[in-house]
Amino acid sequence: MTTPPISELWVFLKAKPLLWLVLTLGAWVLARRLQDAAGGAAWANPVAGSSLFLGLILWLTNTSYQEFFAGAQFVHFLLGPATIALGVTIIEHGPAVRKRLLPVAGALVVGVTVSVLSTWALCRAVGLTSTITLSLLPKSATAPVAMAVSESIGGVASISMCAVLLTGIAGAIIVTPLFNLFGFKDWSARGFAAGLTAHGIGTARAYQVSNEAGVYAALALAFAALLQGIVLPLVL
Amino acid sequence: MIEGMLTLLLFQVLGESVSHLANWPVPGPIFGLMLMVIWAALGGKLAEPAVQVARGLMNNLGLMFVPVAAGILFQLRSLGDAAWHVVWIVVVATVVTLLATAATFAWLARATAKDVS
Repeated sequence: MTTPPISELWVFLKAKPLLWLVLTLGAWVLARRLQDAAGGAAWANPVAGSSLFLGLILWLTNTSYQEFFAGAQFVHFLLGPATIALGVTIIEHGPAVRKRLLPVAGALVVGVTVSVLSTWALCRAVGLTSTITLSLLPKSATAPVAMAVSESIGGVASISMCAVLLTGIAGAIIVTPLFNLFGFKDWSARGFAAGLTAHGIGTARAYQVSNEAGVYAALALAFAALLQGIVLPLVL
Repeated sequence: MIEGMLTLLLFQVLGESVSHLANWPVPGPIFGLMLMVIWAALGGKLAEPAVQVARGLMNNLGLMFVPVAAGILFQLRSLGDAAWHVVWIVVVATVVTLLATAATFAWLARATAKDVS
């Protein structure tokens, strides 16, 4: 019996979901450690770091996204239960949240309006096509909402997905230095803005910084998803 | 661990069912989150295993976005010349939205706190 050459091992592993699952988890753990080593700095965002790293590997090894996703889908599936999990902290902070219903409602309406209108105005200003413009409008909503809304108003789901992720990563990186610069000290206001603007990726960042910020970010994520899911298809 | 996961998945199934029946473009997990909060507001209690699993998932919330985020570079390339416009528009709109939201929240929080005192 002859053993196969070592070069064939790569061909064997590359076709297995296991390899891509291990690389996804490995890239995440590595990116988290790098951020810890950078003292939790906002620019060292682990979502940005690990997805850049994986994107680079896919490109260098000439691997199709479909091949990669066959393994990464097991992590992707956990997005559902992880969203439900956000409810647990909202429940734990229920009494405090109930006292601040007016700020929550006001910031929700203002935030979603500003997000949609500013995006629309900027797209019009540079003359982007209406397909791209409509795809970008729901970019602050959580990915599944944005893709569904985009398709119902005449956008393209995959462009929306890209805009949603860019918004999430940009928001998670910008939020801390921006609010420090403008002197916002209210953690609930900072968290709420992060969740409303940068959905789940902003919420993940908010939890890293402060538990209170995380709770309000989760709240904003859920309410903004409901509001945009219901209102945008009706208005446009 | 399995027990806790099961609790979260059950709420997700409920949420997916509501989303499907209501025929809204709001995903099931968002309805599931809302249903769980409503259930707790009505006096329901979450068992310790569910709280433990929820904490574990939340501590790694960012990880769940990596499988899709790894495809961003492919997507941007397919947008061609519009890609750079998309990137800067996203960044500017994100800054504006963050500031408007936080300013409104902080202002209303201060205004309501004064009313009470």
